[in-house]
Amino acid sequence: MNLSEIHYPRSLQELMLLLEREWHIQIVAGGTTFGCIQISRYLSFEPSIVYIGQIPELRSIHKTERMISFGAACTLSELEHVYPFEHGQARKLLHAIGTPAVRNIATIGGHLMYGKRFLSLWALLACFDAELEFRAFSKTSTKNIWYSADEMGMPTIESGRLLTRIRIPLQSIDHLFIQRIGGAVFPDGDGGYLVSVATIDRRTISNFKLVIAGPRAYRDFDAEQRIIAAPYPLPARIMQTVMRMYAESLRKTNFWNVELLLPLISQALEALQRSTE
Amino acid sequence: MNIEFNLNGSVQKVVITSVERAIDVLTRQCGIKSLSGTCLEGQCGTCLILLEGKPVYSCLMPAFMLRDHRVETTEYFTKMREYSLLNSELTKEGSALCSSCHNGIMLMGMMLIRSVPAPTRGEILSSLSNVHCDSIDPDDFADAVLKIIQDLGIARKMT
Amino acid sequence: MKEHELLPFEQLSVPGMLYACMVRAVLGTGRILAIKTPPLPTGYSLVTADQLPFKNELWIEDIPIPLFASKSVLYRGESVGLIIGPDPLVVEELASTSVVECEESTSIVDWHTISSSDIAARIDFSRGQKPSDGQVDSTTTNTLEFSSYLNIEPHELTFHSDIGAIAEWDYDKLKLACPTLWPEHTRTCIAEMLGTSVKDIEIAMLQMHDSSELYAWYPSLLAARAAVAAWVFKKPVKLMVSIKRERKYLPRIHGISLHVRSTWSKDTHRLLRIDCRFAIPVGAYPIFAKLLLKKTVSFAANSIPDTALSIVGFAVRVNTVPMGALESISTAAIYGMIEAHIARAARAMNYSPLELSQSTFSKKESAGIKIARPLLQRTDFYRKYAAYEQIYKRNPGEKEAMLRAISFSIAHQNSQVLLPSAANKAQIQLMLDRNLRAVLESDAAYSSERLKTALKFRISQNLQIPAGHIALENSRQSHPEAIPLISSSGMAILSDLVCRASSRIQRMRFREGLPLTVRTYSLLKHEVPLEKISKSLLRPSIGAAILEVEYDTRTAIMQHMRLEILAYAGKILSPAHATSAIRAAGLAALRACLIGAYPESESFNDVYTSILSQTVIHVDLIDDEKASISRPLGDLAYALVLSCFLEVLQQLRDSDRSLLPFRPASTMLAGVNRR
Repeated sequence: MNLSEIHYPRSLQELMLLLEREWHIQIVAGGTTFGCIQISRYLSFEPSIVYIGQIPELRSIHKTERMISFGAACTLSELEHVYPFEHGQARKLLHAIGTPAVRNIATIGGHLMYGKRFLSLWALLACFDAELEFRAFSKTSTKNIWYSADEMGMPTIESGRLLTRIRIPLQSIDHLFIQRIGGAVFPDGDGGYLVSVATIDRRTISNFKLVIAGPRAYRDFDAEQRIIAAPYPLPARIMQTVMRMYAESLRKTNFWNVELLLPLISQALEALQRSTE
Repeated sequence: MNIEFNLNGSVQKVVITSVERAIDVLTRQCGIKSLSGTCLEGQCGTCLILLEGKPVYSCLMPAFMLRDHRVETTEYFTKMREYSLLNSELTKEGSALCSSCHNGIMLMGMMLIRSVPAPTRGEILSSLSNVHCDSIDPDDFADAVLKIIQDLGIARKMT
Repeated sequence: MKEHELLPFEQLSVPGMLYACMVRAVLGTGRILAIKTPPLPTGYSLVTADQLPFKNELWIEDIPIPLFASKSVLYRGESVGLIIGPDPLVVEELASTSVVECEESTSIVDWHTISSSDIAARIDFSRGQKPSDGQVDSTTTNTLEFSSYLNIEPHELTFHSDIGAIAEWDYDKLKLACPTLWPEHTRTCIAEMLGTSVKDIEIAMLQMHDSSELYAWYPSLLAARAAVAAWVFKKPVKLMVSIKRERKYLPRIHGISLHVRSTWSKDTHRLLRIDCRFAIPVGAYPIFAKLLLKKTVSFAANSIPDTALSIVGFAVRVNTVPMGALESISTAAIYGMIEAHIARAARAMNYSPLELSQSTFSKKESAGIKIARPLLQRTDFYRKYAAYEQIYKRNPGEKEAMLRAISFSIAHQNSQVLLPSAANKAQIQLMLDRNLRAVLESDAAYSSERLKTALKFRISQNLQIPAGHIALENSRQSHPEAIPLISSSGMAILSDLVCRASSRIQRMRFREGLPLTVRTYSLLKHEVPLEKISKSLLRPSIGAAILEVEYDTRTAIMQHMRLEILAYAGKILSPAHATSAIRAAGLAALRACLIGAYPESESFNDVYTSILSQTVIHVDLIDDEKASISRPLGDLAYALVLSCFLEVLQQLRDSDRSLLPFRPASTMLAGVNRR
């Protein structure tokens, strides 16, 4: 059995100093990933681990006029009453991750940084233009959540960086569509979510995003651009054009089940058409 | 390494290693009898504890996460009046709760009765989902908890 | 060892105890080439078959099972030895990192393709004349024929409970503590293995969880392993089983591959004939093979006594972990399929399914429809069925986004298969002393807390004493063939014995004074002919169910499900207990239909975990106070749910094949590597 040295930093500064000294240290926030996936009764970690669940800066939730930000060590249940999880469907998505007992210790940071696939909330946060704040040595960088997917749509995590906060711009959302697809989501399995959001401003669609995420992430920026600035409700020809674009781009990935996903994209667009009814 | 945490109202000083799950420390070193690590993946609910008043699966938690936290198990509540009221309500008509779920269900019930004044029916049913019990009717559980709360006259939660 | 009645097995410990974990051959099967363990620290040892002081076999239902595979491994995961030592975590690490090298590869025998050498047991049942090839019955020229196939894969038990065993030798007396609902079986087969008397083996009572098929025969094997290890080391040994780590290698519920063909007369709207052929995989050791075949056949055959029937069934030996559950969805499969054919025939002939059901089943059993009327009215079944059927008829073959379906089913559970021989062997002893304290001596002392509470409650009602004054003690009379408490037939017999004993004491106490001891035997004594068995014992329990689902055709996910079950089961021991048991069986059946996967867990559909937790299940019981005995309910819920589910699948897909489990559509292209 490999025993690990455990560190309990009390502040973010202390944590960064520790990480500067030992970059291979393993970060543990909620610990649910280890406890669930590891089969043996005993848990196995790297030789050195740091528990970040009690660092106040990583547990705080701040809201301004324009955005909301929450620390990476916030538990999923702490986010239940926080934008964007206040909406009915988004709240259901959060609840579908696991029972309350799981959500009470699983953290949003651990959820987003899983690494082997995109877990449930990733697609939703991608649609909401979430930004991830990373810290490395003395540098802080903020990147759109899409930077955690490579050009093939596979999850990618840069080493040497610590996810500290997640920021979401507050925006008016008129359409939110969430559909679970496939089988198992966690641990690694064939499953994922299709999420689309839209904002309608004076009979024009001012914002539209559609993301599919599971084993990989998918989004067609061109199709979205075709919809943005289009009149609302979408004319039939635009719908047809967009569906053709999605069909082509899905086929090009040579990965996604087009027959499953096209009808769901169509369903999302039909829901968009009805969203102000 | 040595850690301290509050267990059922008293401070516990234990020696833990990184390999142990919270349930192992609680059962082997702290003498907790109500927990069982059957599934080790947060499915069955036989390892439920209250961490800072919220239910968590102690089989998923590394033991080192217990440090400086407040932990409550079923043993904390067994001598309370609400506990016997809830037990009677759930086991009326000569029935008994399934043994594997009993502790988890009673813990959820006590949490709802004591920590959240007047929980909604939805919150009660959501708490029950922490325990994987095929044989209890969720409505019976919700009715029992609401009845106890009403009988005890706990003030409604301010929304 | 003290009796730790309230402790779960996991918490149990004995001073000086060593811990043991099984070393399993997970890489392959065939001749054992080597067992490689990591370097064992001082105080840790490996025990294998060649070190056993006793016979390396345990006889279970006439099947010898080796305690540890010695020369060759028959199935992946078979135990070849134990790692034993003082620290449980170290023991587990050593056992999980040990490697067993075998000669052959790991391909698993396909049980759908049966070769004669794989057949462990066979059953042939036929009734009525079989029409010869080419011959057409002139009275039935206007016939309809339906043919369908059902495949239920073997699936896991639901693990809520600890399993393992602690053994301690006190000179030549063996003390065991193992969660088991069949203590007499454990005692008897271990005594035979050790060459000792059953009186030298004591089994401690533990906190028992509710009935799980895992408690059938498997605890006996675990107890035997712990016993030999304790003998070798001269110390108490606790054999631990990690359900998470060893899940794949624990006994499973058998599946079934079933072909059914039904022939109907369009003129008379009657079922003319049923032909079935099925195969059940039983694993490397065919435990319960004959019993399972018999149960699967009789469940269906007894309900359609007037119909020509031919059934051929095989128990197939496959190189996997031994399987078999006394009451499961697979034993109800033929019955479920007949129900589904009734529904299909009704649609094809434009006939009412309920009337067709009434005319198909025997008059006795068609009483179920009368019982089900309140259920049908409450759920508004007729209106919903007509509405959903209209959608189907309006758009046949069209793809609708969301479909709804509702189905109704009736089932009857008969005790005949398990009862006659078992009924011979049941007895209890009930004593009431002057202080109005009662002691019940029976195998019920080993049962689940809920069953014990239900029994105490009934005794307390009959004797009018507090339930706290009633103690349960081990049975001193051994009945190795007594039906295990894990089956609902066993519970029905037990509850009857307890009720009769307590009623008798109540009648006698004021006349004869206390203390009083009463022994009650089951109604059938071995010298009494079968015909004289009380009819009440053989009367079936009846159930009805309605399942309503909402199905998303794009993702192939059942979104919402609502299940209503009504059961009529004679004199119910504890309505709350019976309701819970039916509810649990109903959920287990739904889970098996939707989720069960084999052999790996990669395709586990956790989407249904949350859907099932939101499924509304409502159970009603009809208690018959005039009945003298409660009737078994174990298979009833499985039969009802499976029948309803198959009918729903037919309505949704109109397909001949009903492949279970029911999987949502894959997000990825078939054959694409994930990474």
